[in-house]
This record gives sequence, structure tokens and C-alpha cells, in this order.
Amino acid sequence: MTRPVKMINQIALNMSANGSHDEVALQVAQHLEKFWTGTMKTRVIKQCSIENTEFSLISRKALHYLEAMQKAKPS
Amino acid sequence: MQKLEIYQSLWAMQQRIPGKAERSMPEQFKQIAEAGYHGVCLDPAVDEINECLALKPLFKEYQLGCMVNAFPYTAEELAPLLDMATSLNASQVNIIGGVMPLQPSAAASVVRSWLTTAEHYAMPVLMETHRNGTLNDLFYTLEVLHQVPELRLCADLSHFVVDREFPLPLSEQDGQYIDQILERSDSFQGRVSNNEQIQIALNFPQHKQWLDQFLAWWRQGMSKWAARNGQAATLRFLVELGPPPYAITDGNQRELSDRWQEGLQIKSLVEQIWQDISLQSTP
Repeated sequence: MTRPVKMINQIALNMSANGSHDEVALQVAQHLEKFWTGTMKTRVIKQCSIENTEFSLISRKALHYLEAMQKAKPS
Repeated sequence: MQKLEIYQSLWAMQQRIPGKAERSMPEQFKQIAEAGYHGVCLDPAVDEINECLALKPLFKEYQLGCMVNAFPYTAEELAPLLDMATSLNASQVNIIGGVMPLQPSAAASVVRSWLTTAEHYAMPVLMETHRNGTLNDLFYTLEVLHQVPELRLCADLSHFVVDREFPLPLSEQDGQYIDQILERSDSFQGRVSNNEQIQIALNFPQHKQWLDQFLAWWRQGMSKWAARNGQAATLRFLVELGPPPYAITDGNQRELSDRWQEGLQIKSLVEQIWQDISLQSTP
């Protein structure tokens, strides 16, 4: 498992008590959006589109949210 | 199959006997290798990088692995320390951060910047729980953990026992706090403190309850680690019994117990815990 995958799974696990899967996924995405560098975010979003990466269910959902946040930004 | 590797701190090899020179580096490496440790841990700040790189032939000669306790004093100082760790094929780096803001939120920013730097390196990079460091005390550390949910720790619990002046038996609340630290820890350090002194002799009868407490924590932390990691994972444990004046000394600045033997005792006790955990998880 690559380090960013491991880190996002860890964030998801540590936030998992904060609400439903969907709420936690959104919080994870907001955390990544706020604190991770652009390069790291782009890389994990790319990784998420590849089959067989070891993202947890919440992490995968969070990355979909993150992708949407990235797309919503004015270019 | 999961593996346990036990390292010995090179700093802890110092004897600091007044009027007596320290042993040579080759002698120290030889002693560590012959005692069956997996490797040696170095403790550099940036101005000690060259000194550490000069030890590379000794790691090779004695077939010892390298762990690094890195001491960055600015956000930028981590990268050269990680470059050094890479040159020495270090298996793991523990950051004892020298940036110590008053507010946990400010510490969280520095920690995030170190984690971003670490992302470019292959080895695991953990933050160590350590007095006079970024994660100086338990409550502050819990707050930083909350703000940086991707942060993983190397747990040196002796610092928190002194910091919080934990009474024994441990209260339920204190137990829960330490439990949160153990949940987030991917490596452990071997030293036994009591609630007043950072390092105590292992075999004095008055210290037995503290030795038992630390063994229980290490068992708990190692079991949690084993449960959340895959079969190919390696747990690293560092024996780190500091030289004088870490533990209390007598009127002639001499230590009260044999620190080298105590290190071997911790190594053996931790190997026993590991064996128990491995047997429990074997179907």
C-alpha cells in the first residue's frame, strides 16, 4: 500500500466516529482539501480511479468528494 | 509473517563516567551486534549529519540496520535529515520536533508540513512523543492527533508518565488517554519511568509496579499494531536507556544500575511479549 493510500485510510479510520459514512467521507475530503498540497491531492485522486488500490470504502467516497471540490474551483 | 526488530540507541551506549573516555564507535557497534540487536538508532540534528554518514561502513561491517531519531528545529530541517536517513538505508525515522508553539493548532501546521516532506521518502516517518519536543505532553499531543488524523506516532510513554505525574493504579481516564496514543503508534521505545523520574532502575523492588505497567502498555500497543497490520509488516522497537544524567546518579556521578544489562532485559521481555502475541494470533 502506498503512503498516501495508507494516510487517507488512517484519516478515515480516525474520523470514523464522527458520523455516518457519508458525513465522515465529507469531513475527510474537507481535511484533505484544507491541508494537503495540490500535488498530493491530484495524485490520490488519480490513484483512486485505478482498480485494486487499497482505499477503504470511506476513503474512496472521500476522494470522490475531493475530486468534485477540485472541479468546482475556478480555473 | 509479521516481524519484530529491536534496535539499540547509540546515544544510550555512552557511559559518561567522569575521567574515562567513551569506547570507540566500532567497539560500540560490535557490542550491539553481538547482543543480537537488529540495528542501531542515531539521533542527529542537521549539524550532525556528516558525523552520522561517517558511520555507514560500520552498519555494513556489523550487518546492523539503521533507525533515525531526527531532531529538526525548523520546518525546513527535516528534508536533509531524511536525505541522510535514506543514505544510511534507515528503516524508520522518528521526528523529535524542535518546533514548539504554544498552541496545538500551530504545531499541527508544522506537523503537516513535515508529513508532506516525508511523503517524498520511502521509509516510515513517525513523530515521537518526547518532552522538550513538539509533542511535549499528553494533552497537547492528543489535541494535535485530533487535528492531524494522518499522524502516526512512535510512543515513548515514559515522557507522559512524568508529564502527567500519573498515579498508580492508573485511573480509567488516564488509561483511555494512553489508549488513544497506543492506537496511533506504529513503533515503541523501551524505557521505564515512574511519575517523578524519567528513567528508573528496572529491578529495584519499589519500581516493580512501574515495570509491570510499562510491560502492560507495550503488550497493549504491540497487540493493537499486530491486529491492524498485514502479515508482511515489521514492528520496530527501540531500547533507549539514556546515559547520565538521564537517570538519577550517586554523589560521584555514577549510575545506580547496569544500564546495558537492563537494555538486554527489556529486549528479552519485549521478545517474550511478541512471542505471546504471535502465538495468540496463530490459528
